[in-house]
Amino acid sequence: MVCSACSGSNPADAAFCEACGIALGTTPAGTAGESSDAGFNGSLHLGFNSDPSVHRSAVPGREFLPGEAPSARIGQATTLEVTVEATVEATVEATVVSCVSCGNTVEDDYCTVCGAKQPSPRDHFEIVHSARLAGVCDRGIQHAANQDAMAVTAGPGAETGVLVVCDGVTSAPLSERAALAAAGAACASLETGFRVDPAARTDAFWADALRTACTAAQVETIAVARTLGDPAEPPSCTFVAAVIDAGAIHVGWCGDSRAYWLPDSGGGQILSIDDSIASQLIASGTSRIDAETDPRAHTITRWLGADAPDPTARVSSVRVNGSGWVAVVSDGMWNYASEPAALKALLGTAEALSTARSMVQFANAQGGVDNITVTLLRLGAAAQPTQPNS
Amino acid sequence: MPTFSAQTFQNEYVADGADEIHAIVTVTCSGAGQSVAAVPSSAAEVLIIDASGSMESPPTKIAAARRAGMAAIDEISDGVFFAVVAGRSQPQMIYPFQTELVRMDAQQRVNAKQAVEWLKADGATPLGTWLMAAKGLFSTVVADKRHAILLTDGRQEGEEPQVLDYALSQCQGVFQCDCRGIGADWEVEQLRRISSALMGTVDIVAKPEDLDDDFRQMMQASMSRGVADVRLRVWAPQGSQLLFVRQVAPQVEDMTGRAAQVGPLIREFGTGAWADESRDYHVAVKVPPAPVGNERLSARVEVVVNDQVQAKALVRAVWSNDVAMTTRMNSAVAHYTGQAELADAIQQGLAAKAAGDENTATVLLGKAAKLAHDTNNEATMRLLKKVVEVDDADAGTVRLRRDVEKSDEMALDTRSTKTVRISRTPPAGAQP
Repeated sequence: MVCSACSGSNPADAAFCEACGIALGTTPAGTAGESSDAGFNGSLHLGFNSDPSVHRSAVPGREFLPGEAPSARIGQATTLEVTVEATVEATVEATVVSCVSCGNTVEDDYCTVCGAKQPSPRDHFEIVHSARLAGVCDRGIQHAANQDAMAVTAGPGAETGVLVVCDGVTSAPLSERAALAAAGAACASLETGFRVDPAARTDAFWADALRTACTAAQVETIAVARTLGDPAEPPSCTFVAAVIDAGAIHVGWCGDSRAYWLPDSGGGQILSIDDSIASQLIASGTSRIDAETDPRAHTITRWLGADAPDPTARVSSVRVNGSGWVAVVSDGMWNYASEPAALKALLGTAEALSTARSMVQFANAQGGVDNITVTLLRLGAAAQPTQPNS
Repeated sequence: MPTFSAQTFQNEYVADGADEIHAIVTVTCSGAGQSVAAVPSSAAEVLIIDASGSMESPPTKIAAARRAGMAAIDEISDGVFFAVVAGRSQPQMIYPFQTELVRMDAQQRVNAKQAVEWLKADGATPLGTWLMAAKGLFSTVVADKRHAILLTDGRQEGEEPQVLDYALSQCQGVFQCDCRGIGADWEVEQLRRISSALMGTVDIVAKPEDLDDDFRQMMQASMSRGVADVRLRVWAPQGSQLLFVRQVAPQVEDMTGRAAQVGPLIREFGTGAWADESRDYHVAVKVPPAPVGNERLSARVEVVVNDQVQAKALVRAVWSNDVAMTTRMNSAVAHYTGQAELADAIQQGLAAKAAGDENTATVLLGKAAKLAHDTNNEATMRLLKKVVEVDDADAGTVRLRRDVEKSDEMALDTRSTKTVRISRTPPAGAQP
């Protein structure tokens, strides 16, 4: 039986698609905005924001992209609550009706017959504020859990905002929780910067704000470690945040998640310098391509977490002209498009959410070896209105 | 009210295509002690004391058995049903005089001890017939928790060998039985078979004067077990094969053959009665591999009492291409795999030695010395050193001793299954 959503082939008696998990014999979810039975009828709340109007819910009835990793396609009863409280309570609750792989009943989030782990709403989530500002966070193909996290918020103007990505360190348990808490705390911290008088929001001001946000994120990772009884290998994550304010991009980072400036015309640039072995190799003269394919490339030299030797943000600021995208991404994305030109080639002219989705889709089509996060903010000329993704 | 907890120790990350999933599940019971004191009548005890003719040679054995029987009677709580049976060619009631169990009180205690003090030895050792007698006695009362102690100084005789197999099949699940061999004329394999089938312990009491202490401790342990008939309910996914379920601490006991199929994908394993204690189980299951990036529940282990789930632990499998994660052997799994191999090497090594195959015995007991050394099992190492000269424990080089006491070999054999628990403190200074 051929899946009408992703064209995957399935055994004749399969109730659900092996590839995407959608119920076979039903019409796939329609375009965004259309309500769907099989779709993700969820809402995303990032509870650290005091003003709920600033954060819009994630797209209802989201569409499924061909080749995308199985995600939150788990029937009507699905709800997603991601609440990041000051006390670091990140809970993801899902009511799953039947196994995505064999259609049987589910207990403890596993199928009672085949044992398949049921997709968690945490596996794929999206945040959209406007046609200019959105983010997509996805499990990818090869990792069983999504340990990436993101937080996005709009500033006072259409071309201002905050993009934060934290990539949980796979080897440490519950890094996905630490990453989510860290991203939320950093975003909330940076958002307060926009309350300051515009004249006072200098490069130095944002540099300080970014360092403070990084500390806020670090505090959250330590709090998660404490709930685990301070394990020898505490939950850890990377940190990168970009603040876009008055035609300037201010970036702070710790680890190897990146911020890019990708103008419509002219060459783009990477605004952060990875804290990684690859980066050290590049600094000592190895070419980027050789360095990033080195077996040790992804070993990070700095991170956030209770055991982090130097959990402080390094910062940079750049003033930009013209139209283009600010992209803040995890290595699951830039693994497949490291050079600014390569990442830029994936952008197109659609609005932010569609663009982020198609970038994630590209990374998954390349193999999706890691979790993938893309957050985008558009500067200058408006992005095109949404094109239904076929 | 007793409470249970269950915890999994495993490396759930497995390489692409891997299908064998291993985990250690630690089950802990607390609050069991209170419930014994509350309902003593839910427990029943039968002492089976070998009173065959051989117990008179030397007569210190029957004298020790009398003292041990009296010591055990002292430990039985008031209100608990009990009886004492003399093992002879035909089992005979020592106390009470009718074929039934009576409830312990001060007067019964005095009478029972008096009866045991007059115990005389004569006749054969039909072990199976004695166990059937105990089963008959247990059927005379309603008690949740039924426990026997079997003391013998010899091997099965005076009945057809298959009577023992039959008796074990009949007694399994009816009562638990701790077995003790006194002297060096009994068979380790035989008593191990009984204690294993009847979910009890087995040990040697080489010196008659140690017997009453041992009986006292066994009875104290039994009295402290406040939860009867605890079962492990193990679910494994469709298309999987449960390779084994093995208790690995406090001693190695393969439970795989004890499985009762209770659902298409669910099996139950009896674990007997529990005190406030902790036991470790090694669960190994072969599952259909899933593509990299997917996770499958490989086993769900539930602790069940009276058909109510008291605790559960999940055994997971996550297929990954990250070699750093998939090659990490879980320390608990590694430790107990070593402990089970240790028991096996000792038992096979001693069997080879008994069969006159000294080369095989030297190799296997050498392997045992290395395993005991590597897993810090000092108690086993001490017993091993009475049988072999350890030249290099690290390399596993040993020489067979020439002047070995039979009882030392038997002690090594019976106690080979005793494991040391893994230390759960993570090493300091571990880095991601």
